[in-house]
Amino acid sequence: MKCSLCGYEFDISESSSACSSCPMNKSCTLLRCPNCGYEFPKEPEWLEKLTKLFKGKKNGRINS
Amino acid sequence: MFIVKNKETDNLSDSHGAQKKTQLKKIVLVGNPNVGKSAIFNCLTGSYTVVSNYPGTTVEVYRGKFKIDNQNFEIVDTPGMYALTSMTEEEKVARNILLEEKPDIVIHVIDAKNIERMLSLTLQLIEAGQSIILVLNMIDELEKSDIKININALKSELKIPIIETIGTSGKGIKELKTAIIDYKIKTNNFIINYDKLEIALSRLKSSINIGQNFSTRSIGALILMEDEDIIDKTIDSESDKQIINNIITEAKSDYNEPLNYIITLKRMETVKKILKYVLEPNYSVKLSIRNFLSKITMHPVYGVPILFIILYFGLYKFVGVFGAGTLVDFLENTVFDKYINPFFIKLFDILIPWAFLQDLFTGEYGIFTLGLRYSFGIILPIVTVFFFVFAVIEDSGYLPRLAMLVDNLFKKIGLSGRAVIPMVLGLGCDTMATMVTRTLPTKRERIISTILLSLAIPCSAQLGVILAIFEGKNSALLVWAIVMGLVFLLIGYLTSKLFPGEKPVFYMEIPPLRLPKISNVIVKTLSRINWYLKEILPVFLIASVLIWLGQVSRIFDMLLFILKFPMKWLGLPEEAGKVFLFGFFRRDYGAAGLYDLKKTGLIDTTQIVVASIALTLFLPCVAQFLITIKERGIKTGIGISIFILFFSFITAFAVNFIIRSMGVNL
Repeated sequence: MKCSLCGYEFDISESSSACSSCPMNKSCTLLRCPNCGYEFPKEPEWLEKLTKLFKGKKNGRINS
Repeated sequence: MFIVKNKETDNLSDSHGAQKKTQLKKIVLVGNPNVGKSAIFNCLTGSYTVVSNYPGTTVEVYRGKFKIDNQNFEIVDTPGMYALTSMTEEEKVARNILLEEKPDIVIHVIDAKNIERMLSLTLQLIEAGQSIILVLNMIDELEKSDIKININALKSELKIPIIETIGTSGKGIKELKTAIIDYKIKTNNFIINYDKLEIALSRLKSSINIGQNFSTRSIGALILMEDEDIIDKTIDSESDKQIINNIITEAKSDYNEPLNYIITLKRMETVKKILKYVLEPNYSVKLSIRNFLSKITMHPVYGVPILFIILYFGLYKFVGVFGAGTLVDFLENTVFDKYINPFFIKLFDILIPWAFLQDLFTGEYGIFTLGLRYSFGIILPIVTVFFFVFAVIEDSGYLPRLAMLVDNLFKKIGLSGRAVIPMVLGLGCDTMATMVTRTLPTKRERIISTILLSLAIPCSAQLGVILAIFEGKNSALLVWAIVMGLVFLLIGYLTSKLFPGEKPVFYMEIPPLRLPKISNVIVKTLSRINWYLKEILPVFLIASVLIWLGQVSRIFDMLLFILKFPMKWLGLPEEAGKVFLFGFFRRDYGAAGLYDLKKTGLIDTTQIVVASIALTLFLPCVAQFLITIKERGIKTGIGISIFILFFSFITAFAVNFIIRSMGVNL
């Protein structure tokens, strides 16, 4: 995961620790950069699957 | 032959002395996060790893052992760090390991394709007198990029061993092991020239305790950057602390910017100078073009027209004219008015015989005729094009440059460029942005930005609808924009006077400027649309139900009756009252109501300007109101809301009065 604002690279577990004090963190689908606080939505699962499928086709194979 | 330096001697002379050590030799891996340190660690250690929390923290540190030619080594994999100036807990731990565990060799792992951003830490490690091996990792990715590094040139510039690796496949590990075993301590004369700060650095030398694992020059630079942790560790007596404070104060007087910024800038300049000789010529030309573009986007004079060009084409032309004009017109007037609404009206006529219940679904404020129409017919096309533009801007790396550009202006209203983060996020959703204000370093900045977000930052949907409402009425749009700009600056300035405090300091690592990748832009846009629909759909549907209940119970009519009076004072028709009621559910819901009102032809251009100003400044939506109370406390939250309620109507009243009495025809 790379922050779109400051370029800091982090993984999702770091992001959730950055907003652990927020009361909405359980239901919130946003990711917060632990470095600068910038928030952005997590890529939805359906889009992740679609991207993988597209990449797979591009590489000459189809992911199952 | 492996020779270990004597830290005390090295510290005094800032050179690499040589003395043999008998104990287990220690190697420490350092580098930015995600550069492949762990892969290198695993390649060297195999399966033998001990994970433990660094004392007094929750930060995990990996330790392992390995052998090269019967020589035993201990290796420590440190958490990611960007610089020796520690900001995060992870960076503090990484620096403490270097300071306290006194490694024999420091392996600095960098992502080769991002050498421009990462070489600064290499320079700091050399400056600190560490015995370094630079590992250019992920060279497979470097080969795919348009960057070519001349390794020999880099070696001759830095005078340290440099190894190319692919940590994931183990390529280059053999060479790295050879470099470790053959490591020879040499005096490294490479220094970063800090210009006028050199005087302060040489004066600091006499006050710094010897016995640190970092050179006095490096400790001096950290002290000038006012690193509290380092000051506590290296300065014993109060009198020395006083001397150091005086040196820092004198050094500061030579610059308008904080010393942290000046030192970081000097290091970046040095990196650029080195890369001029190290990167292949074609890439150097590309880099200089990129650097030029990067500089002008942050320039206090040239940066402003660039910002206006982006706002004009990105926001006005694309979001306003295309999204809120063409797309909304098609979806609203063709798709909803001709097909979807008549279909649901007919369907619920058949399904539900009771008129009052039909109203819940297909009435004036029905779930389908209002809730879904507003969501998909008006708001969705606008936020879609806005999120697309936003993703392009975000992926190009322009946002941090915008933060640098507005930093000076923001400082005049008690904020810093850091506040651009919540302000920009506010264009997406003010509620989310209000939560982000907690990342601002001072209470004063948090209060000022919360007020400005509630007052003068419209969310993207509201902004898009307002642009659509003003379509073809450029002078009216200009009046709205000027009033918003003035309110933003005036309220910011007055609030900063009301809550006095120190001038905020702002630093930010600036990632490279690049051409946005279409795949990134599409993924970011779709992710945001997905998130936005999940957020707004339930609220719009609930709002329709609540309005229906309000209608049935007559509460809605009562509220509209009360709002009749302020509407009259503002010179607006009674019907405008419902727009403000909608606005309290969600800002974009209110803006969509205003769009509907304009379509009825009940309001003229001046009234549109007045209503838009009042609505933009009006109370934040319910969610933002609750979050403001949560973040700033009940007293401040309610205080801000009462102020905004009165201020929005007074400003709109004043604008109406001025336009009418001057007889201006918009």
